[in-house]
Amino acid sequence: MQWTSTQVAQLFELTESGQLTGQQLDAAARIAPLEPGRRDWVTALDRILGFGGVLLIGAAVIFFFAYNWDELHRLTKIGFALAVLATTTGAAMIAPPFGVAYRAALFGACVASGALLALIGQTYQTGADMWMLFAGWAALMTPFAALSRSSASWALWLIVLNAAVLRALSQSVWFPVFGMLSHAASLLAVAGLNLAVLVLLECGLARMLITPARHLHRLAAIGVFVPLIGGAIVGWWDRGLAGVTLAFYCAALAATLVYLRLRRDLPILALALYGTIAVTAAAFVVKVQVESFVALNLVGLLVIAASGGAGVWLSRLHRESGAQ
Amino acid sequence: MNPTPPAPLFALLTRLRAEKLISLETLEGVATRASPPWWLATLQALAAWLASLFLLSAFYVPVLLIGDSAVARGLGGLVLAAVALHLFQRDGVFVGQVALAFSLAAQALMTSALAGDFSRLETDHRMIAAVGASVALGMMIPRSTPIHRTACALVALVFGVIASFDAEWLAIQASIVCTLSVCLWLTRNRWAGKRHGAHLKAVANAASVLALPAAWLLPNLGGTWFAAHPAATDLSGVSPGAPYHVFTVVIGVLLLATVFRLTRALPLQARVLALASAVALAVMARFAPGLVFAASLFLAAFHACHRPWASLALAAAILYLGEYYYSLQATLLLKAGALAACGLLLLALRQWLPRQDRT
Repeated sequence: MQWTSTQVAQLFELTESGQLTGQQLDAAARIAPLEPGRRDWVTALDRILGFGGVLLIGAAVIFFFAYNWDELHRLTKIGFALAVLATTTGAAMIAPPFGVAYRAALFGACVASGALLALIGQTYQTGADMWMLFAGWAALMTPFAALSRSSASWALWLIVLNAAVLRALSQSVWFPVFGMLSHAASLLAVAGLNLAVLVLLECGLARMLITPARHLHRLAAIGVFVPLIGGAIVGWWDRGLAGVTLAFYCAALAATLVYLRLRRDLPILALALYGTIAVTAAAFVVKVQVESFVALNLVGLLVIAASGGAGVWLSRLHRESGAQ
Repeated sequence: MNPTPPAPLFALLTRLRAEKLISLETLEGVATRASPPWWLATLQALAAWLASLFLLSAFYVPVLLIGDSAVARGLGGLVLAAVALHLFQRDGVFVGQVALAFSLAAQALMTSALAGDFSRLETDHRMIAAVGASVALGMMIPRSTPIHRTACALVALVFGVIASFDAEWLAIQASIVCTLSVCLWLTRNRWAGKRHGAHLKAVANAASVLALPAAWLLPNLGGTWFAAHPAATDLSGVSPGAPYHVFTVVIGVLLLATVFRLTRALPLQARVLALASAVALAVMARFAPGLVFAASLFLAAFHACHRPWASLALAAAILYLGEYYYSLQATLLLKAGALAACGLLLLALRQWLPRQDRT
């Protein structure tokens, strides 16, 4: 019987860490080869070639319109963009529902809808801001993402939505271009957007996905915590960001309760815990006025103790959950 | 009572026991020492790095007060290193975390003692980097945790690149790091069971960490550096685009070699098709060597059953694609044509996959 890819990875890990000997690994290799089987390769290549091919063609269309070829009439360009969109949606219609080809084709439609929108903006010079393009793109691709039920399409949707908010905040009269990330309201807006998506996913939107994976939840959680952690650390020095520090601690507490008690998700829990350690270490640096040998060591030991303790606890939870 | 290992690991251990490959004692021992998942190991390493900065500062300040001598710094570093190595002899996530932070701080102190003050970094950077690499390699050898060995290998590689940095050799250095990472993952089944398997794993991780930004930076900065330093070009006689071209060729050959190795068991016709596709991809994507390298790293890491690196290679490919837009090596029209050709090639290859195994 073949070893699965996960088992081969574990055999290597155990041997490299000295828990199995080289002889034991050789004996395992005599039972079956220590490499992915034919079916593993075909399954992986099927997805990567399908999604990768569509992504490259979608990118090619965007690059082509960005070249702004003067000799090509604007109607020809728009016709070409519409043809690409029609090809991808047509391919999805003839592909077996929810298979790799179907999802890859609709992922292509998500990319092509952005190219079409950019081309219209480029051709007719509407004067719209960049954030409107991204927001419009996110809105246009929503039906395709919903139909595809694919993590890749929804991940692209989330990234484009974040790009729209970031561009809107950087262009707004309240938040000058370079000062955007130093304003509490803008950081909270980015975190709030991702929190809303995370809540929707937890409330059942994730059931729309073909594969019951939690990649999207974790992507949204990163979108919540990264701006909050950055703002919370600076918040100990800059009173203007004190609200972000408070928001971070509330979010970390809520995440700990939800992802420990209600819906066990260790990577999100780890993000909240290690973020808390980083923000609290910053608080000690400010409050203890770290200048002396004792104070510096105190903060260093606090970080070691907290991160070590968190590591022990999370490792135990990881073993208990049986996840890999 | 021993803690229960994660379900997939438990299934493996049960099978190994059924195949009489491991004893009951080994099974119980492995069950109690299951490694943390990659995301937890990464967060722990970041926390240890932060802690080591505080510890380093804590030791450096009194050393400065007592007298800023190399001997004092060296002694401080040796004490921390000895404590770290002692702690590594014991099992446990917490102890490993403490030891990692102590080791990183010790390496900085010892490097500072042996190579001089870091304030002379600009003038004596080669000396400092060479010493730093040696210290990191020295700390990597004794028994320690996988995170620590990877951190040491990464420090040694980065310092090694700095120590031997020369604009003329930039492409060669990047090529070596990229080739090293792909070759190590391709041959994992050969070295995993060897005496230095743990060290080679650390080098493979470190080389991959370094290779991903190298494949992004070199096409942009390599040529730019030469363009900004014409004197170097005059002295060496190489053209501004030379590093870029060298790197592109090496990365293309690397993809071909990877496919050549992985398709050994395929029928001749399928193998020729795979190799021809690799050549076509390397030629068409020559203006985006990062994409070609990401393909090689994905194939090698997938062959090594290392899912995190296979996933990271794919994520990097998307970033390389974004960066390719701003690349000045070709016009947008040419880049669009190359991307469309690559995309069509991938879709054509997908059609060639056996239908019964596709989803």
